Amino acid sequence: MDHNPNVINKLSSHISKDEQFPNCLYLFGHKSTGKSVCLQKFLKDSEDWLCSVVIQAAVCYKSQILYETVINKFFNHKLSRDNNYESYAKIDTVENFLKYLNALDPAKSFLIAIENAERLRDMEFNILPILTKLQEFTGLNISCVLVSHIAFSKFDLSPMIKIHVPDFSKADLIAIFSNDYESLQEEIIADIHKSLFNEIEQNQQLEIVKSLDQEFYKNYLSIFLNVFYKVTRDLSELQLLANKCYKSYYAPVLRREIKVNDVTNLWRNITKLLKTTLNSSSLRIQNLSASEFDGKQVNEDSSGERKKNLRTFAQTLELPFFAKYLLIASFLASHNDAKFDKRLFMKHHGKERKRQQKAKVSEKLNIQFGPKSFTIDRLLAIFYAILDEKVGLTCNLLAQISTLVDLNFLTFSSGENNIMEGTAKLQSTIGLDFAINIGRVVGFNVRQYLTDFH
Amino acid sequence: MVPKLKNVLRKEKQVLANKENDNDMNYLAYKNMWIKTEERIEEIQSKYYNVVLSSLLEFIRKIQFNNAGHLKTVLLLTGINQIDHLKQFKLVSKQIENNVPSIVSVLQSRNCPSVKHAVEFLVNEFINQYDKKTVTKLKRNQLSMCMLQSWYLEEFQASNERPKLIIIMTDFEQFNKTIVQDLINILCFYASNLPFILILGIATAFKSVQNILPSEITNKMDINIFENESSTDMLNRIIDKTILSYRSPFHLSGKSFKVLMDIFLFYDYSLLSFIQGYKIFMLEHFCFSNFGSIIYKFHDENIDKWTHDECETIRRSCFSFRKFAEARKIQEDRVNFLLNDEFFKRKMGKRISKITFFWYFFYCHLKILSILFEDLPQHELGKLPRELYPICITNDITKLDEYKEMFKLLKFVSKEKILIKLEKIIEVIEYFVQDTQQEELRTKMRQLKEPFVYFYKNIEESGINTITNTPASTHERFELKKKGASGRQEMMEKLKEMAKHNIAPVVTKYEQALWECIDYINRKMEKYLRPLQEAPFFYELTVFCNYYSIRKQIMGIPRGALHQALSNPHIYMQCSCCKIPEQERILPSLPDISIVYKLHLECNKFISLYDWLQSFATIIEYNEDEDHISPEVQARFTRSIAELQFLGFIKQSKHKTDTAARLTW
Repeated sequence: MDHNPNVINKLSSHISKDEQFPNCLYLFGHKSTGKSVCLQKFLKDSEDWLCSVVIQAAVCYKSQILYETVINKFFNHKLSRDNNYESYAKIDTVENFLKYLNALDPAKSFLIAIENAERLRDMEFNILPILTKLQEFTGLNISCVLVSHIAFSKFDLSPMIKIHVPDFSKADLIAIFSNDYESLQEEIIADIHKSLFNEIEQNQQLEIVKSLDQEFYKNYLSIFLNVFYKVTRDLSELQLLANKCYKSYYAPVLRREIKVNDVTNLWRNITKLLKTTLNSSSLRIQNLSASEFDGKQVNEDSSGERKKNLRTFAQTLELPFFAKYLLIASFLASHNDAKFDKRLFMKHHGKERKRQQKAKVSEKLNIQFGPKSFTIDRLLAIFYAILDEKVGLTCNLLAQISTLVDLNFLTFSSGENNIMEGTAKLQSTIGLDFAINIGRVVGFNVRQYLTDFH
Repeated sequence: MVPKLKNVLRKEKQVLANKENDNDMNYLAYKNMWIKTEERIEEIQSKYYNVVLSSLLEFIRKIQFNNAGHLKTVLLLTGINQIDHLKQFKLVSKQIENNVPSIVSVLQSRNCPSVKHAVEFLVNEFINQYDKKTVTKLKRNQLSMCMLQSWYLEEFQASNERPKLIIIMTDFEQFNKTIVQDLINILCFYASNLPFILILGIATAFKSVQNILPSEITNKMDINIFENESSTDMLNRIIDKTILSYRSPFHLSGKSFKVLMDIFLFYDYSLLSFIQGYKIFMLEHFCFSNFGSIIYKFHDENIDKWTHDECETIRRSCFSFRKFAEARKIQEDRVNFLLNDEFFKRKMGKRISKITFFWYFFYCHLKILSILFEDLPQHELGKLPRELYPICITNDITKLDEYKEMFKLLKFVSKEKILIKLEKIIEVIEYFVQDTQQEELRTKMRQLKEPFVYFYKNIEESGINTITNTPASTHERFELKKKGASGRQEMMEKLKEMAKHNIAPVVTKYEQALWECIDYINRKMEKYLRPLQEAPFFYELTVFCNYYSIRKQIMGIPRGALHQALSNPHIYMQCSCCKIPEQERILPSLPDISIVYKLHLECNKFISLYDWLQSFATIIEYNEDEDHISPEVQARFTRSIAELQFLGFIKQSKHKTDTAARLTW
């Protein structure tokens, strides 16, 4: 893995042997730009004079874990069978924490690094302020490094030293990925050995593999990054995708269809795969073949394709008949004003009063306002109005509502606990396209029942 | 679903309580029958789960853990009927444990009201399954991922095959969003050191994962998808193999079958619920209609063993028999049928095998019909056996217009298609021949098969070259093909015209052979696909028709039941004092809540509490002094009001003091 020497230099200029540490440091930069790697590298280099601990704030669902991990590390205490997996001490308050910190050897230097530090804001209110002022509380040469991907101003803390980690440039990425070259090369060789070809063929292929040099791989990387660099700069994600597509890149070379140095043809050969991978880049699915991709995933680029996907989603969704109607009813209830219900759903609703046409300029559609909440009674009333058949109000029907809630198609907006009283309110979470497609499956025109489209 | 399960249990208990001796034949017969059916269903289910399961196991076995630290994740798209899947997940976890070195923990949404609970639950499960001793020494508070890690690394330091830690989340959508995000975050963090595999059971679709987890988290995961077969397909299979099978002496009437099917398709898509419904039908039929013991001895040879009571049951409940007996011309016969057991048994001897025959041929032809209709463009009648069954069993299907239409369509089927169909039909018949032990049935079935084999050959040989048709008609046909897509209306008209042409004496050899075949099939259908009314009498013994008696158990109607209970408590209390001639009548002897309820039915949206109390007081105690209402009455009134509020009929109005608002209509 690569590390940014600039960042490490900055770190070591602030935290160096036999010097007073700053109270606190803020290390920030976008996601996966190598913040942790730099930090780890720095900590490893200064291992012999600095006692340090790295903590993931996301893992500390209670503050006790944070305190105890720090203390365990500083007192060099390891959980094991012998001590019955108990921590060095039970620490669940800040006072205790400080008490144990005070017991540390003042001659040594200490450092607490906290990754995903933005999560600390959601924990107990006193943790952040105390971590930033540990020196004052303990009198030790101790410092805290907060690692985060958000801007410092979001923290509401007194100013401190900030170190920024810049994004990787393309060249950086190519350099980093090139480290994988050896292992990839080995992988290819292993694959050939495993393949079903006869020995002669295998040997020939092995010969070719030798010709796939660093340059070849770098060429591939630059092609790859030209496509993907715009989409994501997440190192791990890029790496995963790069390794995945590499196989298709060198495959024609092994088959002797394209020459090693014929870059244009290699490029042509790979574009299609890169495109499909691009569409699914954020999904991380391993075992779907390219043909399945377009059927199942949401494509963020073209809305046409997205609609198609929604349709297949709606069609393949396994929902009982009445549940589908309930879903539609809930959508209608969420996106129509209750005062129009009579006009929309009753056959003999009387004459519509002529409204004075006031020019309402740029009035927004109800659909665009997001779902409004409705009571279960209204939901059922609309359900019965849009359903042609006559069905009883049975347990099974009512159970469907809770099933839909469980499946996240409906949510309680209020009064979850007093359903019996009739004040519980629900909201539909599905979108217009999805509702229309569900309607299409059961043969129901959703648009016709929306005031927006009248 | 759960109420239905309870109903089954309650009924079973009721049966046992009614007939205290365990030897009760009805119950035994039911039990025997049910165990057999259940076994068969389970066999089918496990076979189908195994398809997904084996690929899943293979995948898990192959997973290699590297230090990249991606959390290995499996998405199991299970379909919507989640209750059914608990069983499947149990099977999955058991199979994984048996086949892959692993420790499995099943996490349900109810186990994790918070991240803390979830983590503690998981760690406890993992350690507990491996060694129980350690876990007893640990405090709940101590259980953390950090602790798990040190335990795991210490425990399996030396061993070269470390067990995989598998977490199964059965109902992913039901987890609280933030909790599940945090939990997966934590798992991702530890994934570089601990071999976690996360299996998520997803009821809707892959999209829900994206809805629940932000890309920040999915980036750290390594997702693989496995998909279950849809529950409808599964149900079709179960129905074909167990419920619509001549082997079972228990069949459903069109109505009751349709009810079960409707519940499945319209309400819940749950196999479990379907099977429980079937079970309740069986229980009712065997134990409450007292047919169990008879079916138990349902064989011509066993007819001598029928007791007097059983004969009586048959006489009383089999309308088809009554009709038959009453139609006897000789007076003596009639009396003997109804009173003389020996005579009855002697005469009835061969009747039972007739019923078996009926079902045997019925189902065979049902399958054939389903094969014929399989890929025809129209489907008003349905195509699957489960769709055709209720129609065939209630009406004479061969008389229906849709049926005739379908057969007309059949005459236009291409040669390849009809050959495939015939092949399948022959297979089905062969299956039925193999399936039975009775020689008589076999020979009959074989006879049925022969013509099909003949037709197959005949059609196969009628080459396309032998067309002896007028050029005009071929031309027209070609044109039709060309214009096929231009419009349905046009196509129809062309077809009609063609039909006219086809009546012309010039026919191809293929058509001739095809028509001959179809006419033959039609004749057979007319002969064997008879509705229930025309089944051999006694059919009531084998068919459950009594759906209305247990409708309540199958379909709960909570509001209806409440209304009935409150407006006519006599149904439940069975006391003489509460007997009321019509529902509107209010007697002072009725329970308080019932009186209050009835009074509130007469009111508008808002009810003044004082007026209500007044009318309540006048009903329960006639008092000259209207202004004075005794504290006792007031207390009773208040309590009833509270109860009504609890039941959700009224609530306190916010606009007016001392006024209640009605909530139901």
